[in-house]
Order: sequence, then C-alpha cells, then structure tokens
Amino acid sequence: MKTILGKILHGCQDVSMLIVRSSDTELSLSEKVLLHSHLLFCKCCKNFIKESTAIDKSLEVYFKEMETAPRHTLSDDFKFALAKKLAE
Amino acid sequence: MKSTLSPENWVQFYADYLFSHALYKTNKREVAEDLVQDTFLAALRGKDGFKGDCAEKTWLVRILNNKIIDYYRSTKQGQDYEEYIAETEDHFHDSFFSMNENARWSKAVPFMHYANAADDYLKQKEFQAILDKCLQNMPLKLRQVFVQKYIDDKNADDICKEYELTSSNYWVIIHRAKVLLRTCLERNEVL
Repeated sequence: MKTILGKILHGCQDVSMLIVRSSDTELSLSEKVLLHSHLLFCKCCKNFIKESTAIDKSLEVYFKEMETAPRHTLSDDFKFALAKKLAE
Repeated sequence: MKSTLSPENWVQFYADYLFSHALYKTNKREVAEDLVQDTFLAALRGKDGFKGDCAEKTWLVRILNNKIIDYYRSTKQGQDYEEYIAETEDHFHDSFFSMNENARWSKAVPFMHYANAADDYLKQKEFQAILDKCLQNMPLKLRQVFVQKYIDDKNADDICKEYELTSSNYWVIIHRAKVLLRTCLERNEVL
C-alpha cells in the first residue's frame, strides 16, 4: 500500500519522526494533516506522543539534578593532583 | 552584577559536574578526565579573557564544550554522521518497525504511566538510575548529539553547527535516540 491511505494507516516510522520534530519546530500543513489523520487510527503513536514529551521533561529534570548532584565523580586522588596543578 | 573567578575552588565546586558532563559526550573515563583537566588549565591561562558576563560555571562549561568538539575533530572519531546514519538505517528500521513499505511499530507502544507522572516521580533515585543506564546504553554517536539538547539547553541550529550536521540528520538522530530510550525504559519496567 503505497497510497496516501497506506501512509495514514501504517506510517508509524514517518509519523513518529513528525512527532519528535513537532516538539521543537513547526510542521508543514501536509505534515500536520498526515500526523493528525494517522493519530485517529493509531493508539501506539498517540502513546508515543506522550512518551516523547515525558522524555523531554524527564531529561530536563535529570540534568537539572545533575547540577547539584553529579552522578559520576572523579577519584579523590585525581582531584587532589588536579588542584595541585592549578595552584602551581 | 559581574561574576568573578576563583580558580582555587574550581576542583571542589565544578570538577565532578564537568566530569559527568564530559562522560555523556564521550565514552571513556580517561578521556573525560583529560578533558576536565584541559578545561581547567585552559581556563586558568585564559582567565583574563573572562568578562564576567556569565556565571563562572557557565564559562567553564563553554570551554569544556569547545574541548570536546576539538577532541572529536582531532581524533576523527569514526565515520561522519551521513555515513553512520546510512549504515545503521536498516538495523534501526528492522529493530522497531515492520517490514512493509509503510512501516508500523513492530511491537505495540503501550501507555506508560511515567508519561503522566509528576516531577516528584521523575526526581526519584530509582527512576534517575534507570534513565542513566539507558543513556549509557545508547550508541555514543546518538548520545553526544541527543544530550546536547537537554544538558546545555541548546537549540537545533547550534547543535547542527557544532557537530557539522544537516538539519534532517539531526532529526534522524533525535528520533532514533528517543525510540531507543523509550524502549529501554519499557524494558526496565518503568511504569
């Protein structure tokens, strides 16, 4: 099914790409039409929209937390040597 | 108010942060360690150039980012993105989408509750640990571009310039990264 209808019914790969792009950019009119008609039929892509937004939010929170509590740390020896080097 | 520099506190205040930052954009501890050290040394040498128009930390992150880009350019790490994307296209498609011309998800995408979760849940250690693991599992080529978007709050144009990406390749990377990440979260039973 290479038709437009085929795309609307089955094009999850293309549509999920539109979903990802739409959070940052404006889609063209034809892209919007494709996206919204596909969503009428596809529960998976509807869920993917929610997840895509949730991933954005999760990572914002995650990296904000990293500001105060870095998840990965240097060894004390390395830090000691580094501080010494900077003081020279 | 203008900010000032206090190099004697850099290691204590920023070393772990810069190190974590560098680890997300490179793969190896040793590389990230070197990058942190180079950043501090370059900052110290260039401290007269600090105008005080941004926080000390922001300034250091900027230097680190330049070091990371220099690192990738000098080592010519792997293929360029055009090639990488073309070569991994089929594998990505086959892993997540059906074989037809118009590709459906090959496995249903269920509703996951974290999609409606409040910030409190997203801040929980358990959730963050899984997120961390899933980010670490992501191919470096995807991750280093993907995290830029969040870690430095950069827009698409700037990231494309830094990594010499076309805008369509940029979106391919973000798309793949998100599909991988959501699958990993699902597999780790994040609900």
